[in-house]
Amino acid sequence: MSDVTTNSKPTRTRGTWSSIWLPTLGSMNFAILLLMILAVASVVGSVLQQNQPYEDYVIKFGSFWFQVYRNLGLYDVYSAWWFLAILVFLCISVSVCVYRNAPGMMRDVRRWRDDMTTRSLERMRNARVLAPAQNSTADPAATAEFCRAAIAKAGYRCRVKAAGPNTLVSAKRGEGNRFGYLATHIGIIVICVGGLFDGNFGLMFDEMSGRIQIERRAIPASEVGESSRLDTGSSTFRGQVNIPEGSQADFIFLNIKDGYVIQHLPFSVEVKEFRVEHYDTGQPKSFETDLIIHDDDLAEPLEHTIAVNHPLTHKGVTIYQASFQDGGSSLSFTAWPLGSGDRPFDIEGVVGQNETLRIGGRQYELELDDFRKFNVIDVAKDKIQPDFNNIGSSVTFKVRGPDGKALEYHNYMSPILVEGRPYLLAGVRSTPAEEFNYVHIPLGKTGDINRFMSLLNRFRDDEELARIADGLASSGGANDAATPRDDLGGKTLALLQLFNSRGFNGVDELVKKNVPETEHADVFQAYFNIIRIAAAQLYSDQLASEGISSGQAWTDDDTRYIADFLSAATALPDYGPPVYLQLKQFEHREASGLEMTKSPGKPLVYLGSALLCIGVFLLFYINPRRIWAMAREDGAVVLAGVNHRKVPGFEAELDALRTVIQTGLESSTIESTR
Amino acid sequence: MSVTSEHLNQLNERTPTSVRDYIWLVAVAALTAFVLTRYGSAMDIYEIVITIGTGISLAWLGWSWRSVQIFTIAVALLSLFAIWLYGADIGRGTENFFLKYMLASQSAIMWMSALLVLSTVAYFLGMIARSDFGLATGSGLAWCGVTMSFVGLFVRWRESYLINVEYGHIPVSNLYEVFILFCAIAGLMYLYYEQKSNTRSLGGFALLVISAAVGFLLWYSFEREADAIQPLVPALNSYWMKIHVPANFIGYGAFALAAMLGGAQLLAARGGWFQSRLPEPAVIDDLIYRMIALGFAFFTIATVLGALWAAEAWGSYWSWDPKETWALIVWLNYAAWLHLRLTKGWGGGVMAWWAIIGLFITLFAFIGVNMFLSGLHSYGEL
Ligand code: HEM
Repeated sequence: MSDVTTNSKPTRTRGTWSSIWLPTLGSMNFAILLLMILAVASVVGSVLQQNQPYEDYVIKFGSFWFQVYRNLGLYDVYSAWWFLAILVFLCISVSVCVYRNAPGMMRDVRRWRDDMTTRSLERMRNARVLAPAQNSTADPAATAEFCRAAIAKAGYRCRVKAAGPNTLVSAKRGEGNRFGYLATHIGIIVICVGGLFDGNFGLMFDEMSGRIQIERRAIPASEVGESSRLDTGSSTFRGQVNIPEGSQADFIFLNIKDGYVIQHLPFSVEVKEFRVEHYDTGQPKSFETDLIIHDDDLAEPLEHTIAVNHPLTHKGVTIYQASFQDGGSSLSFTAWPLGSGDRPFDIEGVVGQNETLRIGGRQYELELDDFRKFNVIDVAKDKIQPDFNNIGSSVTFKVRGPDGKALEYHNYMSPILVEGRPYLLAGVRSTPAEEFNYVHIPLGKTGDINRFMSLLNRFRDDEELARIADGLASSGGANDAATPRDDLGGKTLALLQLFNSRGFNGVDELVKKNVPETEHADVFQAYFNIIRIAAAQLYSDQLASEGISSGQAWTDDDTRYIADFLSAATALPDYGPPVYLQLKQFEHREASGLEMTKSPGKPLVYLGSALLCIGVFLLFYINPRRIWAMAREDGAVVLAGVNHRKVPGFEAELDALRTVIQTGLESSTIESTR
Repeated sequence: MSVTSEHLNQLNERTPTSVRDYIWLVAVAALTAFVLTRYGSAMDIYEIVITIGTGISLAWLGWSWRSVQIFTIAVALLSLFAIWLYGADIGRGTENFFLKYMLASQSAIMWMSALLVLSTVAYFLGMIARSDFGLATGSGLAWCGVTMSFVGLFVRWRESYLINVEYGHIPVSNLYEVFILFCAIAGLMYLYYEQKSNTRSLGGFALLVISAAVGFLLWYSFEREADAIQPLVPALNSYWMKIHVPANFIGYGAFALAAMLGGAQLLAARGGWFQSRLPEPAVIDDLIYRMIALGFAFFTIATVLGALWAAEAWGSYWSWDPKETWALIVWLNYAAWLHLRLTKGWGGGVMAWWAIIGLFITLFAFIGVNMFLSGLHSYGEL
């Protein structure tokens, strides 16, 4: 911009400051450089997931690069010092730019530029001299008046002024554009300032100077030390808290780096009830919480329902529905020892707390993590119309062995139908990164888990197995005459035991180790048949013990049950601690996840945004331009114009004016206005 | 002598206002008033404001661009006809002849796809053969295609209510729907500039990017069956969505067109075969500027609306969520472009290349973020 302000006082220091630093800071090149740096820095922050647990980063990058990246602040780029520095510089740069340009622009907006001389007009690039008719007698004032009218018709505001013997029409239009420049750039400054208000530098500073200690342990809020607490006076914050139904809290957690601090609120929030409304498909339609605000300043507690997209603001703190968890549901289970012959027993617990499990003389820690009342999945057979179905409640828990290692489980409460047959699904995984692997426990026609458990106990009972193995050896083993009977029985027993301890995988490995490759499939099939026949015999024993007459012919259901039993049994060796927890009953208690923010900068940000939006349209859609028409004493008119924005329409506009004025000059005498 | 209206006409860029324009204003005002009196009692304040806003925009659009008048009437008649055919029974969509083969949203979208692709071909053939007829055909097909896209969106809107009143929502809530919106808006924007700049030879370039969107749309609906109407997730159930998303797509559409024109400009500037068939590079240059300016203006509004919405839904007007961050990146990129263009007077090849690169940045913000980065923006995962 040419209109650099010159009204700074020429004291020496300020002169140096403004003549060297200001132009650089306010220069376009610097601003564009900053824009591009900011863009690239933002890319980093969006590509690298921010604010994850630090262990995840260590796993991802290794400890060396983890350190390097941490020092660069890459895990929270947007509050890294260098990122904020770019923002601050941008803000300064725009401010300087406005400071330098605004006065000139405002002067320019007001000025008529009616000091143009014929000479200076003629020197302009698009100047044309429009000649009058041969015998024109018009005086410059009358000609000027004609020009003024024509230019005014084209939408310009004009001023007519005598310039010696000539008369000058100065016209201008589209000054709004200059206000557009001011509005956009001031808007950006205002947004930045508002953003800085909410940027919580106080907390960052307190944390760096050690006045505030980040708490990294997962401990109850009441045990967090004083140095990790902020009092109710904080002017800006953003944090979360989960409040179980029927409880209240007067603090939230602010996450910082790999830990948190506690922010106290000037009131207390009670969650009366949390609700999920569902569409008929089972997908959630809304999440709502009935809140009660307890505040000594209120005559009575304030009751209000918030929902996603419908927050509540109290004392400058806005409360949002952010998430929901289990808030400590009470659960009762039946624990089924898997095949150890022990009796099933009952166990109770509360989500979020730990219980002790004793199985087979060993002690395990049961950590109840989550309970979900509804699980909605897409069960559509074809993908045309999704068909969502609620498959009931589920529980997630960990069982930690004496060695400290834990497996994670995900059990559904109700049987789930697969091809019309009911199964209980028991999922297991060893790390959160994996998907759950589900064991399908068949319930058969009776829908009762007892049959499976009893059958499993029989299959795990060495005496039963030995009996079956002997029976098999004496009847079916005859085709191998070289092997003595006893040995055959022993081998069959070993096979069944191998299946018990390692599943079909173990059998497969055994085959691969001992048999030439060409015979793998055949031998495996033979072993498979032995295992299946054993299972079938035990199954028939089981039926007998249930009082079902053995004379009844087997149906497809029975065959299928045995196959299902084997599929479940082969997965059990990997199931970990030999117990299956069947969820029997629950008392649901939800916790509402609330996000609370205090952002005093918000009105400023909105104001700046409004300025920005208005300004952008003024900038783009108002084209500032000026036209001069000098009516010379010889009757000719010098017409010229300037257009800051160099958009093509202007030439056409000038052309049209030239024609109009030329026609006017030629066609008739312009009468004296006097 | 005084300045006569004849003189004045030469000064006006616009063809003179005719009776037709006034009828237009009156008709739109009457329709808006009708809707408000008839259904006003069932509307909340947002809906009333949106209705009035729609009326004003429509009046203004038709006033300043006459083709919109006929276009609007065509879209309205076809949509209303389809809605009337449907009655209260979504099942008619597969029974009624007109619905099944033309106007049910799925069929309308198929027609849109076909028409827009044909239009691209016609434009290119017209350009190669220097045939005005070919170009005019392209233009006509494009108008029809854009009409069908709007009809498809409106009918889909109605269908969502017919399937289940609770599902009802404006179709701008998932990737499938916004791609239709993209075709609609970018198509209309191109047609506007085609008329104003009085050249059709750029049509093939502009329609090419729209055809690409059509290609994606078809893949997305056939391969992923993404066209099923789904209820809204709670986070999207907000009035802000209704204006935030369309404003964004004016931005995306304009940036996409700018990039295609950038390609055309580079070809035209090489001289020879292309130069003889395309407008002057300077003309294209100016069109690119207009596109980017328009896109930037609406993208600014969209981002601000997004911030307002985020403040209401997530508790913070700016959370540096990847989608927000990339919107900022796109915005900064074009801000830099505009500065260089307007204050340094840069133009030509560099800026054309930059406009093309800008499309890739925009594309990443539009789709890439959903595919590769995780964040709060839940709609439209591939
Ligand atoms: C975040 C940073 C900035 C943004 C987003 C921004 C945005 C804009 C926009 C959108 C325009 C309109 C372009 C046009 O005229 O069509 C503009 C124009 C302009 N900007 Fe910036 N700007 C920024 C920083 C700066 C800085 C630091 C300077 C100082 C050198 C500056 C100087 C100008 C000037 C001189 C104009 C042209 C005004 C005119 O003559 O029309 N801008 N800016």
